[in-house]
Amino acid sequence: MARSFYPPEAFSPRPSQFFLLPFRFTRFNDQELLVNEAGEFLLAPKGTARGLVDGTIDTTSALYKDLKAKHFAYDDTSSPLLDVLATKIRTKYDHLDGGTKLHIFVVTLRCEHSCHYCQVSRQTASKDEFDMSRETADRSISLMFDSPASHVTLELQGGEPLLAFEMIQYIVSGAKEQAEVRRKTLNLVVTTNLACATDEMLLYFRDEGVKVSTSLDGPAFLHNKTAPDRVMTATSGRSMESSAAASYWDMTMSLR
Amino acid sequence: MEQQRESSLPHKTTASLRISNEVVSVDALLKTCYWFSRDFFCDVQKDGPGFSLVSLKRKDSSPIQMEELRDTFMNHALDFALRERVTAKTADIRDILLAKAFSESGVLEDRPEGVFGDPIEEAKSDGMFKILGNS
Repeated sequence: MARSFYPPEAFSPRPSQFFLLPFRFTRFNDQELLVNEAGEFLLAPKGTARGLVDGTIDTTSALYKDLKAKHFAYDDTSSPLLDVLATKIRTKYDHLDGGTKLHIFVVTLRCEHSCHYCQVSRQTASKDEFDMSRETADRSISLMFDSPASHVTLELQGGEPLLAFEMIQYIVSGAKEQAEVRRKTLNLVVTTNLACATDEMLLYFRDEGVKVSTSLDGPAFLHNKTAPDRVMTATSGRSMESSAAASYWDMTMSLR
Repeated sequence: MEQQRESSLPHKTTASLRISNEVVSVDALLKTCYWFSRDFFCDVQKDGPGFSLVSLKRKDSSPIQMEELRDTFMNHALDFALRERVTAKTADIRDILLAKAFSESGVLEDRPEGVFGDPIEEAKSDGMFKILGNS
């Protein structure tokens, strides 16, 4: 949902006071390691914890901004962020309510893109040795269903998972079979840049109930800039032009 | 605040620290001793009103030298005292955060300040944001 800007007073340069949020700390080399309730951490100068408790941290300093951003302190301009922290805590401890629910299968490390923000140590698209083996896939499916969770989500990632489409088909088939045997609900998601999606793939995802998660980094000029070797038509444009995509788009596509 | 009474043993393998419980609580001292128990045999006794006497006997395997024992112990003890202050100061907000995090219905979620909506969409009489928000 679109959201209008906060009123000008919400951007007041200096809060009159700040309040503590729960955190733990320890000395770490010549610094202090601060960890909040959601597990986020900050390495800060010695004396930071005492400064927080005593209220002596300079609220105009870069340190205070870090402390506020990492949920160690809040002030009258940041109360909505408490809900953000609560959500992070819920996410962190979600596994306690029924076991691990999200299982990510990296079916290949290959990718034809080189997005600078990507965390994956990608391999060139020609190296088949970086694909998941069937033995690993079988064991991973078994391990996933060993979770006490009654509803599990299998997310197919990479690299670019569509480069290993045959492995995706193998895993989807095997996981569905095991879900029936173990009487569990299975959600299937493939996270892809869609650059190499074909009609055959998209029809398969539609027919098998595999949700597609993709991302656009904004308008074409920005989207293409984040990865030098891709162009808009090779990602969203390519998929939108696809005849299967036209009908698929409205059904299960989620844009991040 | 505290005094150190080193023993008269030749190798100085023991030390005693007299600590005001106004500065470091007994609980904080016990926690400090727990972390020191790998390297020292520890004992905590009352030593008059408002004071505790911590006795430490160095184990052979300890990497902490007796010369640095007082400072090292007090640093850790003051850290535990500070943690108690953090816990006391944040107990209420922690309860609220956990309640928000694990409430099933979402009733504890605050509505963010400001106006929701897209001005163009809101201008339409049948706009989606008219229906969903700001009522």
